[in-house]
Amino acid sequence: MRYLGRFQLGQFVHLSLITSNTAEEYPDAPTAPDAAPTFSIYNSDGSKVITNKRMPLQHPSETALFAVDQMLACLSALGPAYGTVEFEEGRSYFVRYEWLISTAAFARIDYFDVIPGGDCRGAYTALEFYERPQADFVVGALENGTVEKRRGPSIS
Amino acid sequence: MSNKIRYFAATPEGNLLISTGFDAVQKWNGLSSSIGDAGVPAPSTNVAMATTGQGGILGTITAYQRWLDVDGNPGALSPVSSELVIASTSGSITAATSATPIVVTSTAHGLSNGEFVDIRGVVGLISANGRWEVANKTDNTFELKDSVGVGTYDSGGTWRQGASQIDYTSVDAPTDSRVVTRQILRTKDGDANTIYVDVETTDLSSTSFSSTKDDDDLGYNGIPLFDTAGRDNATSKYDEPPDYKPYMAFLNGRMIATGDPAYTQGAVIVTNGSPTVTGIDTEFTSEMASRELWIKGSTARYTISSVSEANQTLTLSANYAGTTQQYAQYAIRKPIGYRRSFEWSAPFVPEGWDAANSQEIPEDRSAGEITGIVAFQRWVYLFAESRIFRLSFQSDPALDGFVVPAPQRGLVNQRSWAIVDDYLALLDRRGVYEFSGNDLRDASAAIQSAWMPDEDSLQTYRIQWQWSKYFHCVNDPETDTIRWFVSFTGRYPRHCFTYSRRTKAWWIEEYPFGVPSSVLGKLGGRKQVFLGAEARKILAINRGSLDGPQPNSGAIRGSVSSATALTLTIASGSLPPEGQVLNVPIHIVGGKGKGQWRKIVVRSLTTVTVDQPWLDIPDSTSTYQVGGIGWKWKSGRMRWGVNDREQSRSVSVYSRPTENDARMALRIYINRETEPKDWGINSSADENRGVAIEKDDPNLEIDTTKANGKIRQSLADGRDTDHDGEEFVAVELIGVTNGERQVVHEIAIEGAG
Repeated sequence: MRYLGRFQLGQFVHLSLITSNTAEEYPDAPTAPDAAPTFSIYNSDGSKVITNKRMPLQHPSETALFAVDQMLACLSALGPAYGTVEFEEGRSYFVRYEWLISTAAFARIDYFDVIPGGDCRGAYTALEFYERPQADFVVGALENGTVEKRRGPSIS
Repeated sequence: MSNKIRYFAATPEGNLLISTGFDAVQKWNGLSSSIGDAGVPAPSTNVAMATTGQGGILGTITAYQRWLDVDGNPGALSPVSSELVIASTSGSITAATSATPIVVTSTAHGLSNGEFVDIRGVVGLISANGRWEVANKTDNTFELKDSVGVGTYDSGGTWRQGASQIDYTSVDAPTDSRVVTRQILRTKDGDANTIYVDVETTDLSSTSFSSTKDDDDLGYNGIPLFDTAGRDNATSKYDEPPDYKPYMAFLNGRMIATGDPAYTQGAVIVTNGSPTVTGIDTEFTSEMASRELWIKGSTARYTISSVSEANQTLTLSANYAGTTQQYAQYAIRKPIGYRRSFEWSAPFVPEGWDAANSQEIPEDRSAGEITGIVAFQRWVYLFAESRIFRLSFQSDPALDGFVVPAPQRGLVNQRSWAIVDDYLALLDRRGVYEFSGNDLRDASAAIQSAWMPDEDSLQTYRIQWQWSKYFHCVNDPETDTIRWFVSFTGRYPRHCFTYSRRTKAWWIEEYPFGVPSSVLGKLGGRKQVFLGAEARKILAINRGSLDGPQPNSGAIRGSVSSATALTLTIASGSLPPEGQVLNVPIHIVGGKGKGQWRKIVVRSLTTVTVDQPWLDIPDSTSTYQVGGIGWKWKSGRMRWGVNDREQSRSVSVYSRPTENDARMALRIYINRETEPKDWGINSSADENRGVAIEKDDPNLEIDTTKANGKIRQSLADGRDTDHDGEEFVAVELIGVTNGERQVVHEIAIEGAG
């Protein structure tokens, strides 16, 4: 079981997995699985935050290395409903990876902590200053896809 | 999560367009509470027409419907209606008087006074032709009310009687919230190429309307159905903005859009013989329908006929013929004809786009993908990864526009350029350069090692190009600096190359959090750079000398009482309020653990929790600084003088005295060593020299509160004569601000040159 680190809401946790016919962390003989492996994330109460989400290959030349950057996001409206529980600050989470090789099932677990100070909407990935007669605005797009308008910028 | 970068573009009327290349273009007008899709949809069905009664509405007409948004922007027209011929009764004219009014003879015409007729084909008495109200009728004659006889009746002529009302039915009702007004437009008799507004209504639900306007009532503000180039405006002139062209700019009354990004996030499951494709960690949108799916290793491409956003599946227009793959790499793009094209809006209708308004950018195999667009001076510059193209036009790019290749430099993304007075400053895969439209100048020679691809090189900073979509640039005219935010580690940029136009100097800034966006705006009447950061924070740069707390808001500097791996408790006073210190750096500036900094994630009155463990846990000998901005400056290498045995060696630092406790550390580097040299002596600051040195510590601590602002430290003199001796020297200053600006006026190295 690997400790992945301490993350804030809105940040990305890099989840990676080398599949093999053992559950070892760094297997000697990586083996391509029957299908894309899945992962589920559980909080410390055992509730699933993400359920059976598939993982893509990290690189096409690595046939057994799968990776995904999982954003510690609010519930997303787009895509399959992987879960109904949101990530919360101050909790530990466990990632369970599952895969099949020749129909035999394998699994592995990692864990990480979510520390306070973040925001599940993530970082501002685009900003625009919008000058209008009635007010000035800073308009920003957040990593989770929402666009926010902040009127009359000032320092607080 | 999105993983898509949003791009902003202001329209000439002041709306803000927001595009990704994979979603519908959005807009905000600064007034409405919500941000919605840009453009106005078009009705999908044609209206039906019939007439009622007898009156002055005559001839052969066709009709359309269109919708308008709150700003009065129109959408495209509906399909055209069937032709309606309005001729309920007609008769032949056998004579007419050249009198005022004209009296027409038509045997057994059957008309009544007050009805309208349309007369055509009268030869000689030509003023009888037209639309007239019937008056003073007899069985075989009637007067044309208000007519004047001009000429003498020769022969011919027929009359037709019109309708009093047009009834429009099957009028498509909008369901889109952008639509606030509906218009039904029709042609006049005799002119099928111009339409006029017959019905305008804010009724968005009815499907039947009627109008009693005849051709005269429609007025003369017609809308031509064909433009000056003969193109059909009927159904496509005001389509919604293209959702597949994310980069937009405005010039000469038109929005110009370009780019053809490939969507490659995650992977897909494809099954031989099935049209269904399932996404893995994807965010497919309905806008991807009609685009093409490319599967790595496949020999065919497939058109996407529909998208299920809920299930993240694609349905192809044909069964997938390749090998079944459980996690295939893929790309979704528009058909290849869109790859190197740009499109433009209708004039001064920035949300009305005609799909026919498209032109190819000249083929250039070395140019790479289209990466951006900039309107600058009188031109629009279209950027590829390694080529600039210049678009020039006066009114319509289709008629008077031309694109020519410009210098062979490029642009890394749509956010990595800035207009700086009379030139553009840009970032591409070769460096930073300035481009005036005519002249081009490399500007990044001093920092070029960051572009070196060699992973074994000694470069401290190397650009991580896989995260280039997050790179950005901002010009700060208040300080004459330009910042280029690039990723050296991780997803988001935490560093920027900063170029001072005043001093022609470069430096690197490091931030305690990711900074994936920036913009130049205004604050308090001054130009102000804002940074978009992690944790949904927007920061104003260069305001104050602390990163977060106000200088008098609490104990921002002092002694540490105790610490654990993840906490630190201060010895006295109360920390500033939570809102001022959350995600703010805390530095250890003295004592045990000196030189470390962490981010505050939890704050109580006297204790903070930090984001990552201390590697060297502070203790009661330590001094902390909350919100200090760390900085570092390093000189180039200098050679000690040849006759250095006859010269003393020393380093002097002249700085502006600070009122509050603050320190700087001076380090020296010998020859080409990467680690600083220990000073080899012990000395405390209370000797009134303003410096403190600990043996085995490379940091010479400078107390910047010393009144004369000067320190001088002698160095061991004399050059060793053996081949390992000291020959070169470089000095480094490191500091953390304490609420006052730290200013170093001069550093003098005696004995070196």
